[in-house]
Amino acid sequence: MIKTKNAMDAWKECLNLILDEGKDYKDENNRVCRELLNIVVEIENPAEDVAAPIHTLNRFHKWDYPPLDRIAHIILDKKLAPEYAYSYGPRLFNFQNTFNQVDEFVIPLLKENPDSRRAILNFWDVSKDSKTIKRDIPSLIMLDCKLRDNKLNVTGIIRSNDVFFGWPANMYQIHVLQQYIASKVGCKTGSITTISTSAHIFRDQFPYIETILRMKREQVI
Amino acid sequence: MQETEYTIFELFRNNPHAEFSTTEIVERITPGYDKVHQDLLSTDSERLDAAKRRKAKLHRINLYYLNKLVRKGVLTIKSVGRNKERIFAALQDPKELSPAYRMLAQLHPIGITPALGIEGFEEKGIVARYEPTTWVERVNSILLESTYFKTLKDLISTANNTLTSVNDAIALNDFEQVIQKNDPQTVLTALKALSKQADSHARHVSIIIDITNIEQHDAVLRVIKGAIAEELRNLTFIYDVQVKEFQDHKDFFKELVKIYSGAGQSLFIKNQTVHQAPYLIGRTGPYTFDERDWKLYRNEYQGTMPGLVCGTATFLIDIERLFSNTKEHQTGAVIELMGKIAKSLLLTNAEQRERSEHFLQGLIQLSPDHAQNYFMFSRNYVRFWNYGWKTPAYDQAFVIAYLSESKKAVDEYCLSEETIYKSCGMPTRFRIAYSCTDQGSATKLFSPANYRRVTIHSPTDFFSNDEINTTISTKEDIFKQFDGGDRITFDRPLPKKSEDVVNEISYILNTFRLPFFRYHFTNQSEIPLTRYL
Repeated sequence: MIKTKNAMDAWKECLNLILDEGKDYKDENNRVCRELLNIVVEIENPAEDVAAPIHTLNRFHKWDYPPLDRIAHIILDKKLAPEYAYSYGPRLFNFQNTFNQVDEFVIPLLKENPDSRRAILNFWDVSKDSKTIKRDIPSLIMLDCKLRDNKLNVTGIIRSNDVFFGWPANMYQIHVLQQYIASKVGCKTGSITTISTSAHIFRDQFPYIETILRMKREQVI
Repeated sequence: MQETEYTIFELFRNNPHAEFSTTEIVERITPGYDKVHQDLLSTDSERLDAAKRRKAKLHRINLYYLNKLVRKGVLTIKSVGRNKERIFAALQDPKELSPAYRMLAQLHPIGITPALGIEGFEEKGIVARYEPTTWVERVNSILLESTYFKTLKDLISTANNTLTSVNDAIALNDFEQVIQKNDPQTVLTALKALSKQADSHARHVSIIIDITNIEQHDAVLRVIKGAIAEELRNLTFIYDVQVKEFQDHKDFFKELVKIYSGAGQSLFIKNQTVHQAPYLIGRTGPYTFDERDWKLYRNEYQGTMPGLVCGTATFLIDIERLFSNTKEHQTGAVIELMGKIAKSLLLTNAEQRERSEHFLQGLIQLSPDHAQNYFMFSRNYVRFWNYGWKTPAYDQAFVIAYLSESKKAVDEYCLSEETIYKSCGMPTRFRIAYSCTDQGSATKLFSPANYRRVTIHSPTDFFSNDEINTTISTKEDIFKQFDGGDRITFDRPLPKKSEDVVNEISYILNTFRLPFFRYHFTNQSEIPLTRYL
């Protein structure tokens, strides 16, 4: 388990761990993928630098990462945009076109019963996603919210996690949602934990990962 | 979204809290309405009547679009004013993220696309966007599955509608099955109607005939003969044949050669053994699908969807001009330019997909369950012009090398972006395919064609003419780089015996790995040097 104070340190430690200890295999696109199963990363205070990994990726000027407001919008917008096969917002705020899991369940539940262990948000829709032909399915499959000491702690389960490109966005989105729920419940934001059941990186990312690992904290913040 | 509809929408976007009556809307959005207003005050009864008619017409038109915007949830009827005139207001509720809010917040003006970063290259005539006016308002090409439709009427009706969703071409796949289920004359009449419609939209239609499924040669030939005789030139028949079945259909091809050579037209052959995915032809060049994608589509989706998008947006590049601006590091220049193009296409696709709800409305309504799947196998296109094939000044190995190296960089970028977007919970298709540019699209934009022709006079040319074999061999390599489709044209003086041409085609199918080629029949002894190959 990786436990850090902030997002940037967590990201670097996680990348380093996979680079050192991961096992290589070729994925369906014939890319060499290095993988570790079941990596747990806990960030004590994500608010400190939650966008830093995304800013770091943008410093390479090699890819076009979506802007932060767009990434946030995707997890908060209940309408499915026509350009995407699925998106997180509709799964949370309009699950199966019928149920708002956030506003109609988790928020009232935590208000009524702050110690509840039932505040679960589910992205995985069995009727749509549990199909062998389906390729575009959510990677972030569940969030668990625990309100302790007036702080909202969130744990996310990610079934397939490209830690280099994907984890920074996942972390940012979980934090945005954490802030939304915390503001409605009337509490502070706490820690974020991600459990990546497949945490992986790709060989063509290695040079960039090595550059990131060499970066000092002041270079990226 | 239609122009009037958009103008109304703009009026409310600029005045989000305002309420307007129909008259006020008409007055504000109709250019030159002052003239109508003046005429309404005229004492000349003829002018007055004309102005009243004009006013009534404008009200009718605007009401149509106003009601449409109300149905879409963009506007609401706030009240009914004097003379029972409706008062409209924008329906906004940001908290609820209503359709209106989404549109008001996100939709960009028609025709205005984001700064793409390639404008300098456009100015120099190195790069051009294909159909810039409908750059994000349409896709390039759509393949329709003929067998999905219960009746010929349904198919043609959808094809007609789909012509408005594309800015280049549509294709009707497996059309032989339609011919064999209907009266050939009825099919011909339907094709004539479709051709007329395509003509008015300046679009191209490919009719794909899968030879494997042909059981009624006569019926198919009758339709083809009729279409050629009618000179439906914006309709192209593409004959999709497997090498092993060619001999079984030799007589059919003999008849085809007679029909096409008699009319001095081009015969398009697709080698299904080399490339299984269908080919379609647009005004800007050929289109096809990736073989792995097509296999997945065939196994999992074919039969459940009325069609799918093939080409999304296209950039054309004049490589000769690029190289004349770059004397050194030419491969590097292509890679650099492709990087800018790839970024531009990423921006473009996002805009295009946002609008797809509107321009793909017809297909989505036919199969709402697949609303998110129409782009699943689509690709953007980069089409090369004067890229060096068969140009004496170019080392052919260099041509292959710069295409291959730049494609590798582009593929890596696309894969990274797909991964990034998917990771962000925004799974989207983003691929870029390479292909050639048709001369028709390039003539006005780019440097003059500098290709040499390949002319076949008899079957023995393939054995005796080394130059032809070398040229075809290089073309085989280029086909591998042009994953979005390519073609080679064989100019063929009119044959004495159609069997000679059939033997030549058989030889090509059996010997070369050419997925798609054209036999262009001509009775001219001198073929223009500018013939595009």
